[in-house]
Amino acid sequence: MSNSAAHVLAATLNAHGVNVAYCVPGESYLPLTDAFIDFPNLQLIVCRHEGGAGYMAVAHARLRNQPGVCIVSRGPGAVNVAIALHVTYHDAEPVVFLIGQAERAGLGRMALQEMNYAKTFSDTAKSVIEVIDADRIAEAVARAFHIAQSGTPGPVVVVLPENILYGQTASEPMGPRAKALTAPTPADTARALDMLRHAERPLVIAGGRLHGDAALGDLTKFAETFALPVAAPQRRFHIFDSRYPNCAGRLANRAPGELLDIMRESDLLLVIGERIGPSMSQGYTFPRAPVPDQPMIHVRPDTQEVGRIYQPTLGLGCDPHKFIAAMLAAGPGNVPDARRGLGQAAERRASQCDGMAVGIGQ
Amino acid sequence: MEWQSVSANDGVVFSHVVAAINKHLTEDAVVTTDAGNFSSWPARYLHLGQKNIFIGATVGAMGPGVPSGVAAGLSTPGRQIVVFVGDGGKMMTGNELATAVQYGVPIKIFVANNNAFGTIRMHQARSFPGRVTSTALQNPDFAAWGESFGAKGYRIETETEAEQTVAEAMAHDGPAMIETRISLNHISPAARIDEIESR
Repeated sequence: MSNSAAHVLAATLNAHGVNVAYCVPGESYLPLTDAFIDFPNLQLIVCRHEGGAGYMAVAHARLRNQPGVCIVSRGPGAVNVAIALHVTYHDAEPVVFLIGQAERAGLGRMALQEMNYAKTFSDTAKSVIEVIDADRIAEAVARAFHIAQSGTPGPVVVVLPENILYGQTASEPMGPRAKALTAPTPADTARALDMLRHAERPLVIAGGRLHGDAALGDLTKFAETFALPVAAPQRRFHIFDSRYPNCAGRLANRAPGELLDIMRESDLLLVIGERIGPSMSQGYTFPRAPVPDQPMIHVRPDTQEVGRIYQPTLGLGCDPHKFIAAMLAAGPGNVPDARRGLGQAAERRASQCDGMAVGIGQ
Repeated sequence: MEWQSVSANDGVVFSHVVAAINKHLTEDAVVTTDAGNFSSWPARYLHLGQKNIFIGATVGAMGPGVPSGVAAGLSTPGRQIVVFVGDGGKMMTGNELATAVQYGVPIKIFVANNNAFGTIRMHQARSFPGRVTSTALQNPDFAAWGESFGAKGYRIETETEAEQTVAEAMAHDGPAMIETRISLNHISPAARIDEIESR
């Protein structure tokens, strides 16, 4: 039995658990908007500008811990949505951008609104996948979802030529690929434990790849049982409760100097689930690049990313929640006496920050 | 991190509004922010827990504030939504307020208006003190603009109004646009423009 390729695409989104997609409609992908009518549990949100639609899809990824979906038209729509690709790439969020394209028969002639997306997005997309055969439309979308979520997440573009969307196919929709998660090796777990148990002034910087109640709850448990202060990086501020005694403050862009001075006294940095970017690192000065001033453990589910900028003492290319779970399972051992002063450190941090606020009022 | 009351003679110091919002923020509220120095006030003083979700572009792009708030209402309906945006960012993607109204998203948009591209103004003060160019903005009446979309408009012009107006806006059953005429001089919790220029 033959289905329209656009129906198979919509059914594949449905099979991936997508129930909200953000779009600006365009005539280049009319069969897809039409197909959505037959999928009432898949809400197509019509936005006013592709930049807005793209930003909404990025936010969806943060809110739901699943890939956001943004659908825009060829050429002009693609250029308008470019800012969201740039943000998605830098912020490492999984987003699938479905972008219209002129009919394949016209490509290369400067067909109406034709654009070479592989060239345009070569520095902002993890991958640009053009559907060249209606029978492989579901495969292209499943691959896009997989790549968007694996390793360091990011944007993936699926290019939809108009003639393909109007075409028929006997192929079936596809569901999501199994998630390939990595755990720390026993040797790395043992080394991390040894470093943690002996540090007198450790600091955890916990980031955006820790998602949801289970992971964040375990982060708090980790901080409590190991007596660790936890800092939240730039714009990941909900990662750790700001009212909690173990909260070490926020590594926002241009964080207060007094707060940084306290953090710089650390004798071990444990960066979990965050790429160490220019804002949180205060222009690559804390941690100092490429060689930090103190021993550093970097945990991120991407072996290419760990060690790319920094030279960590110990680099773990594993799932950050699995790392925390391994630490909790092993237990803290004898926490050094120096770490028991955590409450005093919190008071000191608070007084420094109040001092900042008083200072600017004078 | 608690805040101390600080006053300015060129507008509201934005910490007063952030402190007022702290009193109404629910445990699982979604907070979104645009880019700009105004965002350093909530970054310093807004209380957040792990059931909150804080969304902003770590890369520092302008424009995500309002659209991210709209997405919060559509991707995770039923949660309180607070948006922090400056006058510059509001004019870039703030038109998506229309999308919020069309789909019934009760977004609370706090516009911190200093009539300037404030972060660039601060960098100017640092690199070229006393030579101001290309950063002053003439803006629409944001409260009235919000009303024209179907949101409820509010304006905070003095620090003493902050508490009451924030309470009303947060209690409003629908989208709201709350403009605060903020101090340009008090550009962030860490710096004042006049102090930077006199270094």
